[in-house]
Parts: sequence; C-alpha cells; structure tokens
Amino acid sequence: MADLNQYECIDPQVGGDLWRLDDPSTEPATAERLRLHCQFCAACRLILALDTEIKTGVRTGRVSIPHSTPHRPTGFLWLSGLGAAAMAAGLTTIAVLPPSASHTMMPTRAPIPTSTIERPVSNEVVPGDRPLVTWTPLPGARAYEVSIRSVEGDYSWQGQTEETKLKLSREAALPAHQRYRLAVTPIPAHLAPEGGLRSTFTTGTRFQAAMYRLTHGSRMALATGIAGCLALVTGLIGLVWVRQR
Amino acid sequence: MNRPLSSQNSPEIVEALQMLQAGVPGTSDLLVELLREPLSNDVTRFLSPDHPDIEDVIQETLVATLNYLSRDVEFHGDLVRLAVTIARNRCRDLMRRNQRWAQIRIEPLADWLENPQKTILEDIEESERYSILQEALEKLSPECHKLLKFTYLEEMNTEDIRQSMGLQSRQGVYYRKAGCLRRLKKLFHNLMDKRSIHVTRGARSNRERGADRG
Repeated sequence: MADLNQYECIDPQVGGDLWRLDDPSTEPATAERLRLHCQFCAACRLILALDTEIKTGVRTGRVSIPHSTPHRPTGFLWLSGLGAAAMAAGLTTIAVLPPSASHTMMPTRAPIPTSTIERPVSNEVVPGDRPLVTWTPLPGARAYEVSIRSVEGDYSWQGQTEETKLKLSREAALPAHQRYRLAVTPIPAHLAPEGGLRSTFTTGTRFQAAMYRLTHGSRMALATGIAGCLALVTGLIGLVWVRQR
Repeated sequence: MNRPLSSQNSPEIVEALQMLQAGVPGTSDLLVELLREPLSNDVTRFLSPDHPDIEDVIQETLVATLNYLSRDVEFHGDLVRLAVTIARNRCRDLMRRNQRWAQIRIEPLADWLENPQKTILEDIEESERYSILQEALEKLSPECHKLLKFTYLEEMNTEDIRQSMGLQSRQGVYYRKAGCLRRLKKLFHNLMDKRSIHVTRGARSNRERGADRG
C-alpha cells in the first residue's frame, strides 16, 4: 500500500546511489545519470532541494542545526541496573538467611515439637560431609550431648560440647547422600523441652543444597530475585534493540 | 550501475524497451498503449474515479516516462513501477495542492503539471519553509545533527568529518549524509502535511464562522 503523503523514488536502484553525487570520485557518466534521474524523481529532487535549503538557511541564519548529545538509552540502563541489584539482593538474602524447614503434612497425634535447632533445619539438604550444627541455648544447661544417626545406614556418632554449635571432626565425616536424624540433649536432661531437640537432614552436593535453599528460602527474597532477573533480561534486550535501531 | 533488465517487466515491455533502444519508429505509441491501463487503474484508485484531473495526470506521466526513457539509455528497471510512481508523486502533489490552496488557483493546473522540475518547497512561503525545516531538523538523530553540523556549519572537509565520525571511508560520510537527508525529507513531508491540515481546518472554520455571521 502506497504512502499517501510521502513521495516514492521512481527507480530505487538508481535513487539509492544518490549519495554518489556528493562524491568527487564518482564517474561523470554515473553523476549525469543521477542528475537525470532527479529531474524526473520528485523524491530525490526534494532531497537535493533540502540539502540546498539547509546550506542556504545555515549561511543566512534562517535555520540552525540543533546541538544534541548522542541519545543514551537511560531507561533501559536503569532497568538493567536495578534488575541486577534486585537479583543480587535476592540471591544474597537466600544464601545468608537460613532456609525454612520442610514439614511433611502427615497427620500426627503428638504435637509438633517446637524445635530450637537452628541448623540444619528439618529436612534440609546440607553440602559436604561435615555440616555445622547450631541450636539455641537452654537456660541452666551445663553442656549438650549431640547424636547423629543415619536413617537407613549404620552410621552413628555421639559427642558432647559446652557450646551451642558443633562442627563434626574429619574422622566423624558423614557419608554422602544419606538421611540423618539429629538429636541434642541438654545436660541435665530434664531441661529438654517436650519432644526434645530433634531434626533430620540429608547430605548432598552444593548444587542440591543451593536448590533446597532456592525452594525453601525466604519467599520475599525469591520474588525479589525473580523480578530482578526479569528486569535485567528486559533491560538487556532493550539495550540490544536500541543499539541495533 | 550496469544492471540486467528487471525481471518484473512483462515480455511485451521488454520487447518494446529493446525496440526503443534500437530506435525503431512507433515504439513510443506501443509503450503508451502498454502503460496506459496500469496507469489509469492506479491514478483512479489514488485520486478517485470522478476526479477531474485524472486524464491530465496520465498524459503528463506518459510524456515524462517517455522523455525519461529517451534520455536514460541505460534504463534497466521496472517500467510499470517507474511510470506508476511518477504518476503517484504527481497525484500527491495534486492532492497536497488542492488541500493547501483549495480556494485559490494560483496557476492553471495544466501549466503546473507541465512543470515537473519544481519541488514542493516552491509552493511554500519562505518563512514557513524554514520553520518546517527547523522543526524537522530538531527531530533528527544526534548522529545526523553532528554530521550536518560538520558539513554545513563548520564546513569541514570530508576527511576530517570521516575521522571525527569514526567512519571507515569517505564514501561512508556521503552515504550517511544521504541517509540523514532522506530521513529529513520524510519528517519534512509529515510536518508539512500536518500544517496543511491545520491551515485548511483553520481556514474552513473561519469560513464557517463567516457564513454563520453572514
């Protein structure tokens, strides 16, 4: 469909070479042919006329050529930057804050114990074979007895500490990809809350641990990270689009 | 610019063009016969079936096309497209002129049609022309501003412009400048048409107001 307003070039293969009229190295025959084309082509003739008009207008001060700085796609730059920052903030929060416990929704007669074991949280996947176990202090406790047993294998370890954290020694390293039961008993034992201090966890690769954190991390941090990722991708696509245009 | 004859041309047109280049007498009549129908269809569609100037536009286009062919011995393009585009550009002139000068006929249409060397710039008053040109220049990209400034204002030579713009060759400077002027032409057209509509509407509302008072 022809544009109702705009002139069209009568022979675009010739009109496309109009720039050669400015080039002193253009062959005289070519230049002559282009001039002839312009006599009949209103579109190309208008381009040449505008060229002359600007020249005259600038000399006489009737028109001025605007001074402008190259356009920077500020909006897309901001979007990409904010997106990257939001994604980094979301991922950092997920990495730093402990993940939430994953509870099975099986009905149980006994009340769910209020666990005061901080890490590993219930059903957490921990990387490596020597996870750091931490729990909240119990008032009056002189020491704590920590026991770790594999659910299906024959691994079992027991030790004592006066602190509220414990890092397993190399000798007590846990076999990989197994599920364990963790129990912390205060000394004296009567200080233990109802149900005791118990947790279960699984040893896995760093990737499995990261995936667990992603799926069980703070919902807010996850949403921030996803929104940031989307903003970053949109911003980058926008920057590429602006550049190509 | 040595190109093969466009494959868009029908065998009859190819034959007629070859006859024209060979100087066979009567070829012009044959070409007029071949071009008349597509021209008539397109001009009628572009203007309207009952427009009084259809025949004048077709005649003027046929004369211009034959004139072009007689002077451009190297023509290898699509002949129907060439003729139809000449006609459409004339129709655009006609429509713009009718819109702009609806009430006043400055010169008879036939005289005006016979003068195809004119540009639309000549139909606009100088002050308005520069005003539209300035507005169009403002809308160009910063790269075009830079190039036009180097060319017209600072009158730098091509090699200096090439270096300042970071272009590979001098031809690149000419090519970019032509691109900027092409964009300027488009902007100029749009702005001019907007103003025409504005002027026409303003004039119409003034006339209507006058009629109400009268």
